[in-house]
Amino acid sequence: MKFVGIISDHERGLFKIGQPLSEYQIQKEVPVENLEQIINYLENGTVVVSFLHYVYDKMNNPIVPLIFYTDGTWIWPSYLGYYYSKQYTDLIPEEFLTDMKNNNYNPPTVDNEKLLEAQKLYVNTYDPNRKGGK
Amino acid sequence: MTNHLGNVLATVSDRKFGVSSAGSSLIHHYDPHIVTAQDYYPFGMISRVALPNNNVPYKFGFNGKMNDNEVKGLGNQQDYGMRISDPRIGRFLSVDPLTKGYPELTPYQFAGNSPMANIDLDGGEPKPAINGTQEGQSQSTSQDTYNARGDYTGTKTETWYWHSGGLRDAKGNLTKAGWYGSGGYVNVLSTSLAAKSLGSSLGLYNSAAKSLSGNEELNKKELDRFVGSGLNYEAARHFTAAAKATANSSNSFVSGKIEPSNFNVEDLLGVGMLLRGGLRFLGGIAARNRVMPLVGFGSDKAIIQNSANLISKKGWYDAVVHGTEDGMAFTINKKIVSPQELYNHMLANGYKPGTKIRLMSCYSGNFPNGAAAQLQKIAGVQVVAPTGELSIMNKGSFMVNYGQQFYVAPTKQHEVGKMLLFE
Repeated sequence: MKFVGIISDHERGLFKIGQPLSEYQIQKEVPVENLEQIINYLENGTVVVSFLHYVYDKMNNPIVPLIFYTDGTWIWPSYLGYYYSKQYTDLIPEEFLTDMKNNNYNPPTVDNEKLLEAQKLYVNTYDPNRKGGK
Repeated sequence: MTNHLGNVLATVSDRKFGVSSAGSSLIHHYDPHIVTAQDYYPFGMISRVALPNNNVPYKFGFNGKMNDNEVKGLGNQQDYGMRISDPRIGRFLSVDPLTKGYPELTPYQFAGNSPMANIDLDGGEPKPAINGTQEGQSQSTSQDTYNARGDYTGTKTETWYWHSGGLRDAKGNLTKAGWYGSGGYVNVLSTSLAAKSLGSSLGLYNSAAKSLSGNEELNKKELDRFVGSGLNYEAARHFTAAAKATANSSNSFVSGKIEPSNFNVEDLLGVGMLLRGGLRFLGGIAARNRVMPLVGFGSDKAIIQNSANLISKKGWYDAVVHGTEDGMAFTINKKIVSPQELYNHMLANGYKPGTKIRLMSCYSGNFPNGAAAQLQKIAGVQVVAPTGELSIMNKGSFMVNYGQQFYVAPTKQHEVGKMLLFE
């Protein structure tokens, strides 16, 4: 399983593997394909871990509660859809987009074993010494 | 036209009379065509009456029940379904079929002898007549019972729950406001889109039913609208049962089996069912040990899931609410809320002053003067709060990040470790 779309601006906890938002490009020209379906996919994954913590954007507007979702292959944060819809399209790699398409934009059901694996991965993937990048 | 008891005060027809102002041929206003008008003494005897020219009175009268005018004259006998009432003596003519349950009341009593506050339900039992003000507000219509020696033997209650109405169902109709018995309350809530949304948030739908659950976004909006800044304990308890009932009916529909047992409200209301399947949420469940209710503030996935995972602890009040990153305040339904405001919300949601508080909110215990410390000063009780990001995992354990690692604490040890105690 792979983490995707994590932005270090929102890493207040120990989990620090993302890159700052400023390192991602905004794609202004091209309209995003299948945006609605992608957002829907991102919001309907299986919950790996959910926090009692609200995520705010730079302008201090509330976005979403902090949740990590999975589809069995990828693990992504709840704010990913928000930034993707703001044209931060390179947050999502092409392979993930292909996976979504292959799943008919409907996140597959994740069994308990896979879910536990994802939770373990999350808990074990913090690193206070590594900053930005992998 | 009726009042709060359903008493028919006047009947009007669809005719109207034009009235011109002095000297003008134009119509100034219309007067209604009043067919009958009457007023009542407290137990329903007629005090004043105006009948139409043909002397045929309106069939229905006090409490909206049908008059048996042929027997004793106008309005002197009414048919309540189970029994006949004589409003002149304020009594029924026969023994209450439910009299065994109400030994403190005479078997011939009408509306629990409180004809202003109650109406009589079909001659069987009293039912509150004055509208409630809050969703899930409950009211009982009975009293303490005593045995023949005059010893207190217990309280026999018939409990009614107020539903404020206005919830959209799948056909776009709105639910009706009113007092419902426990089962009826579940039934009316279970027709709503909000219950559907809750059911799908809790993962109660099987995959086939999921695709039939309609416009999820609209359902979610309905859920947000209904839950608002929180439901009280009774509303949450019945609402969870309603969500379960709705999900059950959809799931069985999809599998081709419609079994009445799926709708067995008594089962759903059983504590066992509410404790199973992640149904502990919002108002939470306090029934098993009479522990304090846990209350989730908000209705998003994270609140619902964390509340559902949380195991309540005797003597503690659980406030499940989103924290803010600075550890000084809270977020309820996208609004920043101060510790004082949270405290007010808690008071409105069953918090009894003096009860210890488990503050399930990220970062709230992170600073000596942070949100938990402030809440501790306001409430003047012990407050336990996490120092970092908090997630309540599916067996009720707390995952808090702290120092150099995530710390997973067993629930019963919450006073120590990474949940800090403020006192």
